[in-house]
Amino acid sequence: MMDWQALQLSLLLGCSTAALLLPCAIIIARWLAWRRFRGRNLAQAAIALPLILPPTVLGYYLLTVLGNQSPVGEAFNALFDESLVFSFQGLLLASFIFNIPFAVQPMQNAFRTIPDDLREAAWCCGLSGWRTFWKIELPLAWPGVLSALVLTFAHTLGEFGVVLMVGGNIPGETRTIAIAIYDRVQAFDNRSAGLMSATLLLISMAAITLMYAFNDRLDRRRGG
Amino acid sequence: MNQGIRGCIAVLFILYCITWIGPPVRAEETVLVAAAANLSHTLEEIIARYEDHTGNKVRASYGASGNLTQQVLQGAPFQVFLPADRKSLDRLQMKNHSIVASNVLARGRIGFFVPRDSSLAGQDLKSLLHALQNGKYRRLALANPETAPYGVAAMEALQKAGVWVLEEDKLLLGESVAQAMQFALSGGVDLGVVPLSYASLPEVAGKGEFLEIPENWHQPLLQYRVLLVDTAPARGFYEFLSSPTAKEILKYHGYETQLTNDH
Repeated sequence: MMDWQALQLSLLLGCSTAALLLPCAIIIARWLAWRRFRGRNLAQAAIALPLILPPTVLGYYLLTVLGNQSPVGEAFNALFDESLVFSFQGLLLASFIFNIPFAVQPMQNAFRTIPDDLREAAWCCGLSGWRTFWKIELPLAWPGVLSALVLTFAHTLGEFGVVLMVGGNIPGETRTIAIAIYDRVQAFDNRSAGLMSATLLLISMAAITLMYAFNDRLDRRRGG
Repeated sequence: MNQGIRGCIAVLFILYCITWIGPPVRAEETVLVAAAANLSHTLEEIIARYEDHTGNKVRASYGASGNLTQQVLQGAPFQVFLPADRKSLDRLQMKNHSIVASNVLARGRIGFFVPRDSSLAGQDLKSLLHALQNGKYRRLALANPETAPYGVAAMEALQKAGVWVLEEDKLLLGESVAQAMQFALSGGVDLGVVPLSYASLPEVAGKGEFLEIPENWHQPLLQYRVLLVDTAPARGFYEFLSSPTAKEILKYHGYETQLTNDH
């Protein structure tokens, strides 16, 4: 049996993470692509960290920092009368953090390919920094932005370890489709697990294929 | 190029709209239950009956009692808690977590599960233990005694039988008893120590045989029910757990429900 609630939750988490993360990631990506400053490598390493850290390490720190006994957890509890861990909000925050490299890196690469003199030319023509961003930078970096969006979305759908540690397995709140599959396997319900796995496979495949197709079209239009 | 921008804005706009819907709102009368993994299938039946009776919704999350206790202490929004040992309840009390009501729900049993393809298939308890003592098996699956009460009982029973930790590398520890059973079902494992309640599951039927472990080989496996929050829907479900209907379902799955409540 398909767990529709879990699928809906996963899609919502994916969209929310992408929407929240994108603006922040654009700022970080431009900063890393063009600025040279001390500790730049350190900053880049910190951003790449979620790629290589085991989910358990990330999950452990998030539990420690966001848990009910921590200052952050206590503050959230006092404000909203709800705990941050084992809630959708906590999951969203965790998802935001473990997706940072997936959003920043493609955009950083895209912004880096924009030649400096092109931006300088735009400024010389009297375009403000803001208008240069909208008219010149963003259209040129569009494939990177799209990749960041899709990767964030797909990776949120696929994340398991951190979600299990920070969110638990609460139906309708933190039970994402990835957790629901695990849950079904633990209930010896291989049919449901198989069905949901296939669904997740198809969604992820479709998202990534769409991304490649879009980028391919853009490339051809530009190159051709 | 403008198409790119427009596309970007459109996608972002759609994303923000979806986000605006916000997190899924749990209906006020939905009861969230945290239950020991061994209860899973049994409790789903009880929940189905309860929902039929009252129209109220109940959603359950299953896991090792120790892990669930940790989640409750961290502020997970569970309203009813069904751990498989007294220790979980004590830990809540020690940390001054609110407990509205609690008592013993049922007593569980454990048994050996011998998968069909196991080299131990077809043997009785005595020859099974003999084979264990002589190390004539590949792997033995049980729940992790650190977090799962059923793992503790399994360990005690194996100790009593004189076969505990002969070869540690042959032990396969599941996070909960459900995972131990899943290990036993997925091949390469000759034996599992699991709840006897699994014997009544259609998912397991025909995939192996169960051998009862005498109850005096381990401390009694007491299943508790704990009401964490005093709301009408939560109390309703908590009460329903001791109703004749619920007891009948528990009994069908091999739980003993005739208990004195002085544990």
